[in-house]
Amino acid sequence: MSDETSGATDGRSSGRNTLGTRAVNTLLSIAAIIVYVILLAFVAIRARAAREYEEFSVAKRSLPLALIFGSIAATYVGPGFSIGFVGRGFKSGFLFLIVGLAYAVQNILVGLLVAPKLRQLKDCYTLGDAIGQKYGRKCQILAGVISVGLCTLFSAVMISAGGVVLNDIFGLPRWLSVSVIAVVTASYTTFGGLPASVITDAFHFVLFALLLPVTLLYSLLFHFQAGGLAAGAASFSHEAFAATADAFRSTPTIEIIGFVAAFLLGETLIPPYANLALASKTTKVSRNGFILAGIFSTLWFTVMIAIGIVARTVIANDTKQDYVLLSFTESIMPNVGYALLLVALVSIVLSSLDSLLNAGAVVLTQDIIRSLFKLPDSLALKAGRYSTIIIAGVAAGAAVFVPSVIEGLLACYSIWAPAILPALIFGLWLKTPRPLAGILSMGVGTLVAVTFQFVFPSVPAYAGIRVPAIIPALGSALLAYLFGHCLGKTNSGA
Amino acid sequence: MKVFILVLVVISALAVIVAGIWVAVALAKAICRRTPPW
Repeated sequence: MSDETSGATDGRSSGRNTLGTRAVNTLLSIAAIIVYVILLAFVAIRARAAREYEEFSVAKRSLPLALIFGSIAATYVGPGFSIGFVGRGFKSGFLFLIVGLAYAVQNILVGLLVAPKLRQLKDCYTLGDAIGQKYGRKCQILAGVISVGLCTLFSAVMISAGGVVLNDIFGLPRWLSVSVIAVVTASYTTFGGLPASVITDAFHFVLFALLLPVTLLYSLLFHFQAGGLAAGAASFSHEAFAATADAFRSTPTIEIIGFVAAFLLGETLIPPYANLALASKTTKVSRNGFILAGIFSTLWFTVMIAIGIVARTVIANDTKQDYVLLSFTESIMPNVGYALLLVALVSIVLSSLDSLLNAGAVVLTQDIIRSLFKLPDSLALKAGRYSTIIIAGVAAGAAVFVPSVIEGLLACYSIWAPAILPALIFGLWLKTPRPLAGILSMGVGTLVAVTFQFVFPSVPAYAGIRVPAIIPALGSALLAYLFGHCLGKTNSGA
Repeated sequence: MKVFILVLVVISALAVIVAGIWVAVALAKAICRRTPPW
């Protein structure tokens, strides 16, 4: 998994890779990208430039259910949940569908227990605001620093993945493809803020929610046509069971538990989702948006994994996981279908990236700059715009160092959950949360996660197998919270 | 059983397409309005 995107040889099948096909593919891809950019610009312009800080940060808390749902789903369906899951289906069958169920459960629990409570808070623009209201200003700044760091890291992972896709289409040098992705996304996010991000997310969601299932149905219809439905079903089931059984045999239980923990907790209420919960029209919209997004994730994972399973009968066994979707589509789809798929992949990257950039910018402005300096709304709007540009620039620079899409995302997950979740969830549910508990849990959670993820990655081990950093870090954060809650005083000043 | 798994996969794909169409309608409504909801 560690170098899935970095290899010079990608192990693609060469069935239809003649020079002519390549040329037609490139021309069609360029045409599709041009049409896509024109449509994207039209949609972004219709969202119009944000004129007030409340519009830039939370779209004046006016977003309807379909847009909230579309934006949440478009944000979490990044390269990991598309390219990554197809590769997982190819290698591990339905194993990752079972792991992915944890992600659906997480979204549904957030919808039922956390999002409505968050939406009910007054004058709350970010997750840090919520933490600040419960634990005080110091905790808000700490939450802000962690959130900005993670949004930047997540953005770097997304920009890196987008760079790989552009590099595949146009053969651009890495620095140029990374720059194009960062500049295009930052341009509409800087001016339009959250409304532009949500409306373009909806556009992107429509593209990939139509194109990828159609790819699967097309492959099922035409690939299985020769032997009829019964033979096609038998072939599909055989591949699915063989891959799944093999994956269960070769994957240690502790590793599966680690994946489930990462999917259950890692992305819970990261800043883009928290901002969407706060931007919902009502608490009901906030709740239902997350519940629907949870249900949708299971359907989406099923489609992605099924594409991977069908690909097992079409492309070479040694194809690297990150290239399964591209190779498979190139092998079975008409040239125009391949071009559209590339557009879908670009939109998958951009829809996650714009949400992360906007969330990072709002957090930087609200939780750090506005906590330290008193800024009127007009200046806060300017600060939000500059923050978007700064985060995009730093993330583009860091994108070159991202080793692999899924590995980068898992590293982010390991830090986020222990650092923020205990403080946030206890803060929303306890009547009198203690500032000491918040500070200790956030500090200890971050420290332990960073230590076991980056400094001593092989130290937490059980029966010789590496335990994911999220598990000891979350345990430490919970203990630290308990300790701080027992010893600390209530926050009379907040 | 084998056909059942395939049917589940097809239903999932169709459900994703339906979700896409639902969001497409909401998007069209939002961008066609003279003043957006925000």
